[in-house]
Amino acid sequence: MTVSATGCLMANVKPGKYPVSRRALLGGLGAAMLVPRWTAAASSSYSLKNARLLIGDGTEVRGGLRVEAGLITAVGPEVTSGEDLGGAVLWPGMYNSGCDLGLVEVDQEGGTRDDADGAAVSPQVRVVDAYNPRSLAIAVSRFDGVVGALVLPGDRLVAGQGAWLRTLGDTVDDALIQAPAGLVVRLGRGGLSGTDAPSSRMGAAAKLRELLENAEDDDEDVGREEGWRKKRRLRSRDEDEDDDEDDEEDRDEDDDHEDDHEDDDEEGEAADVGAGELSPGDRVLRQVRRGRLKVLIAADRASDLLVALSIIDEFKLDAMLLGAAEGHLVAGAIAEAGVPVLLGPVTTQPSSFDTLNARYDNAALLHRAGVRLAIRAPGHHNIRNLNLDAGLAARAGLPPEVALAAITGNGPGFFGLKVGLLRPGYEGTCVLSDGDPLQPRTAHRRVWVRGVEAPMVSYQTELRDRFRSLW
Amino acid sequence: MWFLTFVALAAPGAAAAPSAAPASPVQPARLVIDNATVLTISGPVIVDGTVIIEGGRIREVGSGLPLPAGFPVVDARGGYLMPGIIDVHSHMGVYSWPGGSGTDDGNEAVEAFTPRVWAGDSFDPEDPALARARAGGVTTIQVLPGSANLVGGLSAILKLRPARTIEPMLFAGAPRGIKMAVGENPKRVYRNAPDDDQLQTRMGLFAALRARFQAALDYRTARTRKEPPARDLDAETLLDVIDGKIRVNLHGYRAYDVVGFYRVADAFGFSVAIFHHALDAYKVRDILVAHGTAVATWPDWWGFKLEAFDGIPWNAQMVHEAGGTAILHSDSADHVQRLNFEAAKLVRYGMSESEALRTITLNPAIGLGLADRVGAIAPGRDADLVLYDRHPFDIYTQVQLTWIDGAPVYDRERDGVPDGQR
Repeated sequence: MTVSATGCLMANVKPGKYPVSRRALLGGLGAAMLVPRWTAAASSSYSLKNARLLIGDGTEVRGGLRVEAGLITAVGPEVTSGEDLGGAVLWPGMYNSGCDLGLVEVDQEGGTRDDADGAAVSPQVRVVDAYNPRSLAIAVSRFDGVVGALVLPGDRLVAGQGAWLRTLGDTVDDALIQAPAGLVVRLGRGGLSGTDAPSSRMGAAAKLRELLENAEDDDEDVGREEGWRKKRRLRSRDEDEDDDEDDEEDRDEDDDHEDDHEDDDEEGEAADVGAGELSPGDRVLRQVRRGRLKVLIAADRASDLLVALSIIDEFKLDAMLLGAAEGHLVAGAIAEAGVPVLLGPVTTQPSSFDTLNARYDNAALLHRAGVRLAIRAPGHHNIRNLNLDAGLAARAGLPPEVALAAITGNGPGFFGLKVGLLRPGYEGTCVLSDGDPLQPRTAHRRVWVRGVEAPMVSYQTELRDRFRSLW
Repeated sequence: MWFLTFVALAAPGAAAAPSAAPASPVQPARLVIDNATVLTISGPVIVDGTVIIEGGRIREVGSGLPLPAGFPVVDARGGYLMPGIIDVHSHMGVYSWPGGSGTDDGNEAVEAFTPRVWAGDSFDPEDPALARARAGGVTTIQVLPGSANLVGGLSAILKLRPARTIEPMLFAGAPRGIKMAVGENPKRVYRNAPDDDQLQTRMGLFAALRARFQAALDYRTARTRKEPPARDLDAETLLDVIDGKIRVNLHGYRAYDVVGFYRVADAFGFSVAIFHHALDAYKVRDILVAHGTAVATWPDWWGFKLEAFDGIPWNAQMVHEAGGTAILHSDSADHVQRLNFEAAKLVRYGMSESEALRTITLNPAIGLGLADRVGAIAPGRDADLVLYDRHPFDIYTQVQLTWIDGAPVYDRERDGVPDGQR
């Protein structure tokens, strides 16, 4: 390995063969994996040449990629310096538009699960407070080309706020791309669990409508942005001194300014509008109500998708659909609403009463109807199969370049993020592979995240190496 | 686009006329499949190969064979012919779709030992998952009881012939199989069971296993007395295990679980045919190979419970390199539909393509004791075959035809794609 500046970080790392106990492995490997701490952006530069570049928007060019200070500065034939990749495939890597990476370590060990809080209605819950950047599943995912994930809270009617995170970084702040990245709402059976949960679909829809109704501004404030802004400015001057909850909101605001590539001002303002007598949860719902926080509505059954669309229309929400196993049955309605879909898993089977009409060509049919979509692989341990899922969608008729875009730039693009495409101005994140990323045989050789070459080391490679010869 | 053509449809009834009805089961067919790239598995790949089928079995395989007169011919030019896929770990039919309490028939979790039950008695031949598996090129499955019990019951080894009852699906002549389980599942299920049935620890599980096998031997002795005890079907099934008449399918993950089970099995003189799931197999691959146990695993599932936390995608390859028999199983009505792609992933982690193909064909046949019947394209083998339009590891490949005993059980032209099927 002779990569510039940062790439040499892992060149001399030899995964240990030492016979440590499993307890030590579980407890210590996170640290032993030597994930390079993401330091100053200024040192995060590299240049690669002679690659087959899959841009992520459906186009392909020959040439190189230059990254400076963590951002792509040049792409294509004009990049003629740097490490020669010998014509290998360079692509943006996978961005998983909806999973719970970093929230669950071992599914059946309750003590390692932070994917859903107790209450059925928990808008104030934020995954960034639970995300474990040292979860062993993260490096395992990165090893096979997952570079970013929209991490979402689990099965609750109003589950909480998601976040986009990179798969490299010692702390949440290092890894964070955007937070909050939408409020997760679940219809169908998924939304009927948790404390004080409704017990039927009609109950869930009623509760959701009630929450949104109550989040409406006072009469005098409805639709009067200027009034609110003035009020906010006056109030924020007062609140600097006394309100604990505002400290939390200030943090939100900071996150937005630092990590959100678009609408910084908008989001920042949104974060502390309407403080006062409202609970943190109320304030989140108010942001949703004002279209300043996206709402991601999970539903699979066609009838639930239509309920979601009607609520989106009724309350003029800035929304996306999540799941949508039976989306093809209502593809026209989704397209007409102009709501993007974070689709998947694409392998959903007609195995439950919520998904009796699941089909492999769901993505293809939605695309044909004009629906914008990203493909997601829920879960955490095996989200590395996202490329295979996209491949299966392509096999069932989704144009291959659309399938690739659906696991790279599309999802982050819906959130206004400049990641997931090999374009100047985007984060210097990419994956080197020995073939078509949608093919199951293709191996991923190297991974860079925001300018830093990641080690091709994980809990799994350490186990492999430890037992390579028996002792 | 490549598509299949039938030519010289001479023999009536052999190669099914287009119809919505499923092919009639057990049609010992005469058929020639011509011009395919034949992935024989047991021998070299034959480009432009010909396979001649008679009486439901493969009569001849080769290149440039003279075509016998009066046989229907499938021109498979451009296609890849492979032995039908074999899944040694299926719960199709015992957890029929759509899932729910009404179709939850896989675990007779009333006590930890139920060797008396047979998965076939739970099997729903109309599980819609079965049609999808056929469309995925699967021809033989072993339907197992679940893993709640230390001894969960007998398996049903089936050919995926479309049928209204299980009887025409039974794989005639297949050795019997039994499901056993160690580790977290029985621990979890019987942790809070009433009094005598309670099991809490691994040492408790193994003690219970020893006691049951000893009780079976005691029963055998007692049956020779003048006033023998009443027949005990549980004990008689376990005696058949001890006598090597039933192949043991052991569910487990941890290296120390399978080694612990060997302490019991060695003491009572029986062997383990297949170690299922086996995510730790790579750690004790030498011990598994020495015991002649095949390893059935997934390419990359891991982490869902603590005992599954050390699964690595190099597992199958490391077992193979040690001289073991590596099998990919599905344990899933979803993954069974594309075991070819699951096997393709092994190539990413260093396995050769030919070896990866064996993990879903010949190796599972070995695990079931059926290697002389299925799992390879060779004279004398059952004509259980799948025809793809591209290499089975190419993500864009589509199954064109699946045959069982030479009869088409899935035909893409006739049956369409399984999307939308229920």
